[in-house]
Amino acid sequence: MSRSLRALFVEAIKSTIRDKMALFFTFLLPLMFLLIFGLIMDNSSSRTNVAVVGDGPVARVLEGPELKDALKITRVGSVEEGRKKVTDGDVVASISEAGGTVHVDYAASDQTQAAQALGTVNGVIAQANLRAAGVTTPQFRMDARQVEDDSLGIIEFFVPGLLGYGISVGAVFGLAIALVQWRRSGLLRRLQLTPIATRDIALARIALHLVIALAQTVAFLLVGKYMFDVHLTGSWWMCVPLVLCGTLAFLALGFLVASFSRTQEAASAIANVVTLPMAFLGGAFFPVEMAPSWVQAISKALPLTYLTDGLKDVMVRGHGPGAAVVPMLVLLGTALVAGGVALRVFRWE
Amino acid sequence: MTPAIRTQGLRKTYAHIVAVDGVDLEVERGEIFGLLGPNGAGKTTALEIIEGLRTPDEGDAEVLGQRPWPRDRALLRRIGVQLQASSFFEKLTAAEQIGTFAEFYGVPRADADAMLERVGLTESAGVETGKLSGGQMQRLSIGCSLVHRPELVFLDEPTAALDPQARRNLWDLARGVRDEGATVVLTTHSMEEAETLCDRVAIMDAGRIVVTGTPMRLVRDLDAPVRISLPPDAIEEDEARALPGVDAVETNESGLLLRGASAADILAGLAERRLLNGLQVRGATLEDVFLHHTGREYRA
Repeated sequence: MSRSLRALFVEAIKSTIRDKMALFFTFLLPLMFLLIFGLIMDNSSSRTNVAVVGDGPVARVLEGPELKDALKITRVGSVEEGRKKVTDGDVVASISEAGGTVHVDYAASDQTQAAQALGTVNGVIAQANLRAAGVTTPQFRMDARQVEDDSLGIIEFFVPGLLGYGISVGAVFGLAIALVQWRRSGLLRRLQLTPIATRDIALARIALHLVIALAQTVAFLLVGKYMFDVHLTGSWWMCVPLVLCGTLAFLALGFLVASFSRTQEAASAIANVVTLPMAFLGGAFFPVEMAPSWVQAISKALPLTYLTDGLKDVMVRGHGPGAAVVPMLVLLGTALVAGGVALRVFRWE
Repeated sequence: MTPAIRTQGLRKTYAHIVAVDGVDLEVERGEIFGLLGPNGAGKTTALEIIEGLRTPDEGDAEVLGQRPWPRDRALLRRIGVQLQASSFFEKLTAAEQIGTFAEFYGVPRADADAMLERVGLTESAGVETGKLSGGQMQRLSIGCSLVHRPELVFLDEPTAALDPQARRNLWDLARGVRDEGATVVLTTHSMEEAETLCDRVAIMDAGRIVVTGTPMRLVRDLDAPVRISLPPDAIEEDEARALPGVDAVETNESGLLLRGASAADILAGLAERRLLNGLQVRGATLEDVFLHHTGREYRA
């Protein structure tokens, strides 16, 4: 490594550490998204709130240990009190028993949760009926299995998705803003008048962003592990080469943004136009698999899609290291094409 | 030894505007050379071509015996450039800034600190560059251009933002650099600066060099009338007009102003009448030369 390259790299690291705004957008903001999404979508809040009146046999089963993950029970004194809780939206259903009949008052305003409550009560009644009929070994039983790892929750999708988002924002904004600022201040021209190799300027910036990306990855893994108990699957370590390839692709996009921006304001606006829709359509905030097919078609054209998909495959879906190969190739291809175009369009002043 | 700079017929046109229109220039080694001219005269473009940032449409240039373009890293190692703009790594401190530039040239850290001292910024060594005052930034920028002891240094309006103290210190610095054998090329709008600091100047206008020479020589060649001012009531206006060598007389509240081609003739006449007390003689200055050659119209 030449002295110039080392000096440029040291400068890049120091400047980044001293730039509070850059640190906020590359580290804090993506982590804040992770915290917010993680807390909102917390698994425990997916329990259904129901009110239970009295102490009949069905009520006892509902309160039993088997259903404690599915229902959150509130005891109420009367049927009226239960109904009021349903109309107020505190619970989705109120359950009371009279002889052999189980009354369920439910709110249709939250159909998914109401259906879950009704289904659960129905299951309890069916089992009670079987027992009353003397059936001890049922003829049919259901064995439901989740295709992903047993512990897979929504947070396991957010960690790779938002990590991909953080990587894209850090690289696109970081490089575009720095280059436009350097061009505006005359620093790019000043550097041309020193004997440093142009290649060293590029290499120092690339090295800086690879270091930033690795730091982002470590931060996400630590927060995911220790705050949300995220369960990583076997080839999670492939996230490292994936993230590095993604960084190269997004640096090329940042370079392209800088080529088309004269002012910092323009660079920041264009960078937003590039990163934000890409985050929504690229599987950073929600799974694109649920979106209409034309959205999925667009999504297939976005580099972020390949990064988030690759990260999800190796980090939480339990795929082998090979699953990262195609995404990495696509990201490197993006880096070459976008970087090549930017090299032709970019102006030093 | 080849001259520091030699150009022949440099021409550069931007979209129908001829920025540089046949510039022939020769700068000797070891001199302080001033390139003067109104805004838009083409100084910047000419220097950019000489520095190797632009290629001319026509003509040729040699800098320290080398053609400056395409970008020649070996040549760039031997020259230093200070730009007007605050072209810095914003978040670095003054010491880190000059240290980074020193690294680019493979110069030891101690030299960087010594240069920081020479431009009077040792006390601001730990201040972030973006937080320095305009004058401090300018001094830092000059320090960065000199840190590797270049053979040829370009200073673009080096004293524009400086107070009189800093300006005089900078002049000393420029003379010191010259006395160590380096060549200094500077642009300035201050004719006082050009007159006191530059060994030779060239005045540029509309893309051409209109005149070149030492400031003294240019002033003398202008052959401008001398102006002699006398205190009020020293002499009657008619009597003054009759003095040998006086071409014109003006009276105003601060006294009389005599004009004439020869100071010697007028002064002899005044001496005879014992009127030398309180008189002031002013000859032409470089500013008169400048205005004579470039006119008085506003420029870009």
